[in-house]
Amino acid sequence: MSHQVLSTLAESQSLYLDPAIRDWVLIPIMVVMVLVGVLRDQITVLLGGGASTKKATLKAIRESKVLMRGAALRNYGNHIPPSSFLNRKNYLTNAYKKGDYLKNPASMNQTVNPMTDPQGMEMMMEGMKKNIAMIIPQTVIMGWINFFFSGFVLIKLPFPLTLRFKSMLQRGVETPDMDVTWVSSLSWYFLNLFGLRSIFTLLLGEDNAADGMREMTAMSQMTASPTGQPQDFHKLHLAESENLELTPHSWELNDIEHRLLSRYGKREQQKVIDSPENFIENNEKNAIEATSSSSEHKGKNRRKSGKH
Amino acid sequence: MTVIVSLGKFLGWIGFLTLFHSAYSTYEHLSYLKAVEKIPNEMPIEITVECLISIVIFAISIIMVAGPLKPILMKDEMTKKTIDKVDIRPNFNTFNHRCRSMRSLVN
Amino acid sequence: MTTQNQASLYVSEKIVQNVKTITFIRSSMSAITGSAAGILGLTGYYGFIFYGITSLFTSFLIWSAKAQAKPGLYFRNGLDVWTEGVFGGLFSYVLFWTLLYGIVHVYD
Repeated sequence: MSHQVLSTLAESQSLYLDPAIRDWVLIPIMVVMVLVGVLRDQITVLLGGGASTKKATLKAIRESKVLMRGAALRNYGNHIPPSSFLNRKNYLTNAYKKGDYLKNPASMNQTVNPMTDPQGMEMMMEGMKKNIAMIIPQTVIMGWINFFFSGFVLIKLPFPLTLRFKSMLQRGVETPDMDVTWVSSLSWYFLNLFGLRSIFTLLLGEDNAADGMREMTAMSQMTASPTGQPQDFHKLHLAESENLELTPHSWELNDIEHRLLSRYGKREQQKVIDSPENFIENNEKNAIEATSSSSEHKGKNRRKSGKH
Repeated sequence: MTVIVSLGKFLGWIGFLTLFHSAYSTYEHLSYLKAVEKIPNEMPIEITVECLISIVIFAISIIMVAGPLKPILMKDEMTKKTIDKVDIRPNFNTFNHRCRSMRSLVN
Repeated sequence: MTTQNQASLYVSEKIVQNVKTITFIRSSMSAITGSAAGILGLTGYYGFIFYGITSLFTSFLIWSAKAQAKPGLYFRNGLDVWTEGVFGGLFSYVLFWTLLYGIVHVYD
């Protein structure tokens, strides 16, 4: 295999590059991108520490947390018996509709104006500040690379690409005949951008802010929904109450006696739930059997049915 | 456990050195061939083998350094809990909780 | 017979931790195998085939050494151990492949 591979090397080695390019462009760009990523992460940690000291009022926190309560009821409602579930459901839907948990119940039907609400403004500025702090280093580095390192071929890509990429990857060098595999420094920047993400996860642990991709997706989401930060909680509450009304409920512990007994081998697994009288009779019968059987027998049954 | 982790790190450094050595050997060999104006048709088999061995050494070292996988079934988690954590004694059961007020509000 | 809710069947923190471990192993291995591919001078399809082979090798190591041949204990779907994190590693593989190929084979 090494023979085949290296013969393709020989035919395509048509360009000889100065090692100075490697020393002064290839490695520095990579080093700069790694360092800037680490720097961004540390700065985000610093900034994040500052923002968390702002205190929110009790009513504002209650507004958002009560939505989580509704979501918890929807997700885990099957763990509690039907009566408890119905109690909570009715109470919460009534509270949502009457606006009991809103910060200022008087403004229930007005549309929220982000300019006048001071706390909403603060939240929006926070988010925008973070986004800008992320995007700026990327654009600065791209400008720096375009300014200083354009007009020459940097490296050969080991894999072939179609001709469409030629204009994008060979920005400064307009030669119509050259292989698409010879690329300029801008494409090396893009390659680094994608490739260093997992290295950052290695170096900085999870949830690091050196990731360019996450903010780009977050940016695109924010432009899609312009009423971002000062959310209209009344609408959210109403939506949550509708969701709650639609949730079905089936108690998971309904036949727990069945399941427990059949797991320990005291009772065959039945697909159909018996009628109440047979249920009680069967239970008594099995209970009598259980107490009279020897411990060996119990152990054997447990082992038989315990393997899942 | 930490013995395995430090042994893994040591192996990692050995693997890295091996990889670096094979990279440098390849570079030197290619420079020699280009200087002598011979077409680089054959790479000495030792360099290829050294490269592959470094991958294997590195793989073993990473497996040693990475932590263990944790079992995810709730069943296994529950075997570690004592009965006191799971089954609360009726002594400390409260019946004076907010369900009372909720029920009266609803009905 | 009622079935248990998925959320209460698995401990989610352990799942997240396992994914983190697997991602660590895979990204480190991608960097190393990418460098090796660059050193060996692989181009085109051979490079991607090499990535496939080494990620299979990595999965085999994880399956045997970490999961002790019982992946169902550690992952929701036992087959996940062969595919989890492979695509994420591809980008860093390509980066290191290009870097080492450029340094060793292209430059004088």
